[in-house]
Amino acid sequence: MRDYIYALEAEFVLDLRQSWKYKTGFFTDLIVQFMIYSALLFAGGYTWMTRQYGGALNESKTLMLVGYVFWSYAILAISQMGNDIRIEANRGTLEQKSLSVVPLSWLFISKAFSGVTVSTVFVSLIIGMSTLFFNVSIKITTGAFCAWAVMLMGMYGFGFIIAGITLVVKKVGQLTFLIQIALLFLTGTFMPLKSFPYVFQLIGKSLPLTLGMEIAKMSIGGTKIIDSERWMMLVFISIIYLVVGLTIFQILECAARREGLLGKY
Amino acid sequence: MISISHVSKSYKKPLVRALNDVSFSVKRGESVGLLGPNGAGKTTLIKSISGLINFSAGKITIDGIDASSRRGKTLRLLGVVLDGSRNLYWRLTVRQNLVYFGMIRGMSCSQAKSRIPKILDLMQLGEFSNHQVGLLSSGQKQKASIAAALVHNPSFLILDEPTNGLDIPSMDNLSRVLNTLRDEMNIGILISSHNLSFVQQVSQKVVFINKGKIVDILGIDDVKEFELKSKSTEIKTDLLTVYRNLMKGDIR
Repeated sequence: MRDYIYALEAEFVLDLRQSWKYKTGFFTDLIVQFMIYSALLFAGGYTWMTRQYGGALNESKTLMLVGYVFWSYAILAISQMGNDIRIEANRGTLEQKSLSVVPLSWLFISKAFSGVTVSTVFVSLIIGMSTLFFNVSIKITTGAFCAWAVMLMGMYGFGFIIAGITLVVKKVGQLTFLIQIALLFLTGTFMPLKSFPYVFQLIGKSLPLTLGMEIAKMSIGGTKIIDSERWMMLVFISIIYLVVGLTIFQILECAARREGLLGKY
Repeated sequence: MISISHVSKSYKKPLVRALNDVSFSVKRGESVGLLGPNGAGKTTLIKSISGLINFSAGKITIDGIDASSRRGKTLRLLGVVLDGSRNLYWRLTVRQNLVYFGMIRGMSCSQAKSRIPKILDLMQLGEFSNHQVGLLSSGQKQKASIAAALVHNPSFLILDEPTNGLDIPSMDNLSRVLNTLRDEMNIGILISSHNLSFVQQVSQKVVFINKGKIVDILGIDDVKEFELKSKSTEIKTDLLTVYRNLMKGDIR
């Protein structure tokens, strides 16, 4: 157990240090993301949210911001580990990481903690800028926070699948990008899920992001009681995603070790 | 002791038999050279011992612990420096790297920090501890990589092609360090290389490998004797010459 704690601490500190070293990229991303958010805000199309999740019409922008925040964390969860593997393999440090006394998956879970920390700073700045420029902010509720945490766990499961594929196939950047864009539309982030064909609705509803965002929007939108069925569904699907993701990652890690692919890029 | 027993490894894509029934051992306080040309199977063997590659058949134990089924335990006993200098985070300092690698190999932050001065002193890197790795010379980077491999106090050190990119003074320096580790810290060392003269400087035993098979295992005195013989007949003492003569049985 101690090994796991030491590794978590090491990975957390390393990742924060690395993020600080690349702080210019952080601020560039911040500007780009804020511009995308602003464009979406000006484009409108968010008024449907108040009809669906409750609250006054002027709260629809807030609900869109909630969607944007959830989507930001979800794409982090999906792409972070795959990106890290690609970068570490390129640098040549992935094999040294694999010589850790704890499983490689644990090192990436540890990295996820620092990723979420950095992302929280990032999202806080976006919310701050949104408040400053557009007077649109979020009042975090307990329900929204819990939905966020459970959703994130499930989306990291998705991230493990991408990470496993990266170990074997290496270049999956385009696939990750496609998934990110698909999530923007298939999860009710900016458009109602009902406007899509049934098959896409089904896919969307099976994603932790969709369920988590729905609960958070209802909670923030003022729905007092959110039915337990939704909660149970979110928890169940997120656990399934995490377990399946970890299992697939381990199978693909084993395949990478069998074919000597860990250090290849 | 690192015990490698009848280890074979085949890759599927492309279909290659990289190791074929390889057996030998490395004791604590012993240094063994693994000598062979490119593609001989040296790196595959080193990665198999380290658990980076799953081998197809045979058994590898480290101090009696099975390296396949108990990887976490055996990695505690190994320090591994892989080919080249890409073993560290170049944008971090030497000290930050050492703390990180100590901690992912089972040390607490304070344990790692307390061991660092001794390791840096041994590797003559004390004055560079707060330097970014990327700014060090090739020789210093290699020494920093070895320091990172040693920080968790392993019983064995495995080095894959440690002389790549090093000039002669750096190689001499490295061989002095490795001999100190073996003689004063009782560390077992396995070094893969295609550089015969370097292997001679640091090894007590040499395992010759080619096309995944062990060609021969010789004591260092036999290798030196052979090299002298080769020089006297003006034969270039490169590795292939050694092989050819070994295969002919000239040295036995």
